[in-house]
Amino acid sequence: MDELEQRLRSVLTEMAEGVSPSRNAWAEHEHRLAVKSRRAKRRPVLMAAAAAAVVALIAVPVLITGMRPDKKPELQQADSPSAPSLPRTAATQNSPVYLPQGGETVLTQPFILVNERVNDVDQMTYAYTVRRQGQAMLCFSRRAASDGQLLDGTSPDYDSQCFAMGAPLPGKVFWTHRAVTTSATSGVYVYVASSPTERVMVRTTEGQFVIASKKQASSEFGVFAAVLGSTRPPAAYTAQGPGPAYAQLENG
Amino acid sequence: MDAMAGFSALFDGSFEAMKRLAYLLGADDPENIAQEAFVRLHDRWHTLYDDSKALPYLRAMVVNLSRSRLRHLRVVRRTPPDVLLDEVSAETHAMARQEHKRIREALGKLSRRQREVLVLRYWMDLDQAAIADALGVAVGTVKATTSHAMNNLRRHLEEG
Repeated sequence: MDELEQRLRSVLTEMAEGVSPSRNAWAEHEHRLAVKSRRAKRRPVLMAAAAAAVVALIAVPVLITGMRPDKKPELQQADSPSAPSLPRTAATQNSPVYLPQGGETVLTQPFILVNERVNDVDQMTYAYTVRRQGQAMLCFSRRAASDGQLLDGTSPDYDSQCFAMGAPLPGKVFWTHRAVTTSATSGVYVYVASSPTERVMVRTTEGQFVIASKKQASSEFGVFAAVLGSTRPPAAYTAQGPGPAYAQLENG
Repeated sequence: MDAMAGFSALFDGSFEAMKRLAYLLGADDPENIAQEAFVRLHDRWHTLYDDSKALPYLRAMVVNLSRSRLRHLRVVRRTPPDVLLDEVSAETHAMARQEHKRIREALGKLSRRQREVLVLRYWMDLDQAAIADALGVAVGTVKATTSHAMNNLRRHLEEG
């Protein structure tokens, strides 16, 4: 290799090293895949919609009417006594607290997502959000009720599952949504959505509407939860703004 | 290792390199290009029966996406921002940096393909067959382009 080649190699290396590393590349990648997946799902729907525009014009008002909260027989409030096992908001109980580990900031403190009795032991599943090294994450932790309400993230024995969340694109509100299944409870869904989302309306495959109510909120988003009472994933969900209008913000 | 674990490992190991490749090829949004390349790779992952095909596919994708980006920039009459080097070391490495600046300027005067060949050869350390694969040309073309590129680089440096 001659001198010019060596100098060229050196310059290219220096230029490359001048590019700062990406902090959340994998989260961004997952976000792009999710967006692409949604678009791919919509494409055939759009083609069909073009062919059936008249039908859609009739169906949409009917659907909107069906989603109005005053149609009580179809509506199930996630916090209502008829909901299977979702407890009332954390504020009504001893509020659980998450102690963040190094590099973490708590965005929303934990709330009790599921409270169930398994093998004569009360088991709690908590949900909370943190920012870990710049990445917003939705976390779940499951533990016995007797372990207390302090979730000590600094403890080496602390166990949790965290999932990266991506900030929504302009005009969108959903950061993420997750199904949570425990040994005794299924059909629990958590949604994270930006302001001004007031609630998330979920339609089950059985045609029922369930409201996922706001459990915790940060300056950036609210965390919503609902028990669908079904093992099948929801057919659709909609972020809605403040009442009484409950304007649709984003459909999923 | 299952398929998606393999993809994840490739992402961890190659994302930064692909981003830097896009940058060296002159793209002004290298992160976006690297992300797009990985999304496209993800779509084709199940068809790449041999993992060793993934990296060449990625390189070719980054080259193609960078070309598209440069074409777009030419259309909208924008110039990609120049490389920002570490200003802290400016005084201590003044002479070396001056020399590097001259080479960078000379690189900028080369044709797109000549620059691609030099980046793939002298930064990625690819052999001629791999460069040909990434650029979609024959090995003979790579040899000739490399030779022309080095001659032109030398000439630009002497003129500068």
